[in-house]
Amino acid sequence: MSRKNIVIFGLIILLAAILRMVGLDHSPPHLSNDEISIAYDAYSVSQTGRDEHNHYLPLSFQSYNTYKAPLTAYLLVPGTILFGNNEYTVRLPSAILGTLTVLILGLLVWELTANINLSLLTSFTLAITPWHVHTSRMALESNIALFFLVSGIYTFYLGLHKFKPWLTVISFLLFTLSIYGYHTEWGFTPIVIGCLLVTNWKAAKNSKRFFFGLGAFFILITPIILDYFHNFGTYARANTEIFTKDPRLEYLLTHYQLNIIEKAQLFIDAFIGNYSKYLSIGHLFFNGLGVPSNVNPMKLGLLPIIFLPSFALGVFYVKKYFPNHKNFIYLWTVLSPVIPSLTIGAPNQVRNLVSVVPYTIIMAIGTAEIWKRIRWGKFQYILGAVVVAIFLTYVILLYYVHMPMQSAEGAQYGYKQIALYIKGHYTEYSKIIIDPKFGDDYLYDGVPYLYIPYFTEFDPKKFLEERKDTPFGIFFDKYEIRAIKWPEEKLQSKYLYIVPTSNLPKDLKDKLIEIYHVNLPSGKKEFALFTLQ
Amino acid sequence: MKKYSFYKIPLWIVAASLLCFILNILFNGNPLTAFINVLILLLSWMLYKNIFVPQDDSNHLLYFLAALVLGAVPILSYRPEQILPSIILIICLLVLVFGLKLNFSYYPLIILTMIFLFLASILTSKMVEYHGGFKFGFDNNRFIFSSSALLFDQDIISKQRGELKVPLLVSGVLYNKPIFMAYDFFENIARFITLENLYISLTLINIYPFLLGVYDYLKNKRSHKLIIGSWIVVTLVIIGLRKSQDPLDILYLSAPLLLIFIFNGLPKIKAKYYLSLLLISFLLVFKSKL
Repeated sequence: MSRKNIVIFGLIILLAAILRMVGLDHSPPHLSNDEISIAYDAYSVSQTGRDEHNHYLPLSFQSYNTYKAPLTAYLLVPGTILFGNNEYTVRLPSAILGTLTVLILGLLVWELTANINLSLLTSFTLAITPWHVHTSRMALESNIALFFLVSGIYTFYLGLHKFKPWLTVISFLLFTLSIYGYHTEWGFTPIVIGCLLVTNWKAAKNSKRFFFGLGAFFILITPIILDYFHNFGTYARANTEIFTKDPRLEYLLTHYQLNIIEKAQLFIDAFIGNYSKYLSIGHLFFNGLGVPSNVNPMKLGLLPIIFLPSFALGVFYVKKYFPNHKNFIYLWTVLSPVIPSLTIGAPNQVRNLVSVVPYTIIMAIGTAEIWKRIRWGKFQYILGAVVVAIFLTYVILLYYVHMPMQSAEGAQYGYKQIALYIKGHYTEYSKIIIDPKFGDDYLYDGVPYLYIPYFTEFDPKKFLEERKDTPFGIFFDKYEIRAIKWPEEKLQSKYLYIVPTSNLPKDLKDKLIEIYHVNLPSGKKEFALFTLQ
Repeated sequence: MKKYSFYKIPLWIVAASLLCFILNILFNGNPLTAFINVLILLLSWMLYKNIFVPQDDSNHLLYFLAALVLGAVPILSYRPEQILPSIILIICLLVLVFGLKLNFSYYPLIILTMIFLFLASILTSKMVEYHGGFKFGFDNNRFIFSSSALLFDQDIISKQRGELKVPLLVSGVLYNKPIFMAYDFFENIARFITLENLYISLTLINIYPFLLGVYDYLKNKRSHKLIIGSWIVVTLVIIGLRKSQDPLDILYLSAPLLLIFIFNGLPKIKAKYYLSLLLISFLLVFKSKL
């Protein structure tokens, strides 16, 4: 690679890093439900070796009975020990690995095509892809698993082309880590390995290292598979999220006596419906990101809309740019939504993140082809730069200005701010009662029992010892996380009452005094803290 | 199909038409709709013959089977609410088929048919309603812009003026109503282009030759690209404009276009894929009415 290309590559990685790492505590505006669960488990493991449910070094984190893949939580442990409990500790590993994915993907394309321009273009496209930027800015298991998957593919080809057995072995280790990273990879990584072996069968069949690597892969994933079967029948992930749990499908399956053919019809229909949603151009380029929120008329697709023509053209030029690996790229494109299509709630951008790679490659191919056909000299560069600049401005405005204002409530914004208040006034109260509901309609259940101990840096050992889960709520130390019914509440001095604005003590204004409140970034009041006057 | 042809109409198209007619009678119980739909199938095939250079697939049993299956395509069993758009479609097809055959002036022919197709489309979508004679009514609520403009006015402008402190110049470019409405228009089109809508309109089995046909069309430079291109543009404009996204209703007037691509893809189908899809399609066709 020439010095000029190294500089360009460096600038692309810098752009990717800026988009992924700047303002992690601001946008997304608050740690989400899943993020705080992972963050608290990492904090708890760092102090006690146990997760919030008292499991010692678990292979799947029980979380909200969703049994999360373990890698993300363990990756957060060193940062938690070194930098304490904050958004950067939680989100930075994902942001770093997301940035590295941009680098590795560029190297992979270079390895497969020996075309440095296409490699740079692919990295650049991924660097500015809203889908990947968004998932990299959150502590999402899927983003972390994607890094290991792409790295595994890269080292696989590197091992194949450079005849280095140790690279092949490393590739299978990376594939193993992707399995420990996220549930989509449980199904998709074996598919990728299968595709790699089939499309490179001539080289693979005579080399023992591939079969050694495959054997090591199966041995290394055995513990997590055994753990899954150990949790089978509980709320293990595959049991709760499979597409047969879709309410409509479940209703039909339970309320009608269906024969096997009728059941097959329902499953095929549901699968095609889901698969179609994942491939919808509207979802991919116009509205799939759901950022800032679905009520905002300004929308953002998963992929950059400016590359829509490139995508359409790129599909037909894969063969030209990847003459020896076209089948692998096509298979990746077609098969990547298969596993997410087998789950409920389609289209889900997090579960389908594995698709971002082939789509990015196709967009880059299309852009390269368009670039080659247009011969406008310098004007071509100026036009390209202007189009990208307008698009990036749009993304940044939506992401940094609109999103914190409009998506904060859904991300349970306010619990961190409450925790910081409590941390400064902890000794002033004998009891802290938190109503876990949030939102305008007093409808949604939050998880303050994780946010508060995490941001107050409450001793996890004490939390494990004292935590009591009852039908009325969760109790530990001086905290009571339970519904507050004002007429039945026996008000006491030195008690701190924390409620959402949808449950304000309207008839007790003469007895209670509001000592603090939390506003959303939009300025709307979300939580209020009361004590006896 | 020369061997089995009857007045140059191959046997498979006769069989497909017969199947189409029977299914229309079964589903709609209306002989006129059945007749119109069969006519659309036949005229689409004739148009295909005029536009493309059909490959000789005589005596190919798989081709025969595939073509027969085409007679059962859902879009050809669809009964639109009004008869007028169907008649306009038939007229357009007749004009195109015979106009091309008799070497009529090319551009006026295409412009005329596309204008008629556009009018038929807005009638089907009820954006314009026909009240008999020369009386037409315009329904603003069926246009995508009626809701998107409202949303823009309510949401964006209030944010722009109040909460958001975006530099005026940037704001003028990005929070621009025409740009927003154009985005909405294209989003509407993009939302419609899904595998599921093709599946509903063509069934799973016909998607395979359809995609092969499209691929072949894009790959090879064909004559009469303007007809196909302008028809696609008219269809996309209508999809973008209308609020309702019922696939059969929208694609009915584009049925000839879909059929032409399927005809084009039929000679390229591979038996193992086609028969597997056929098996799954059969499984899906005989659905219990849950």
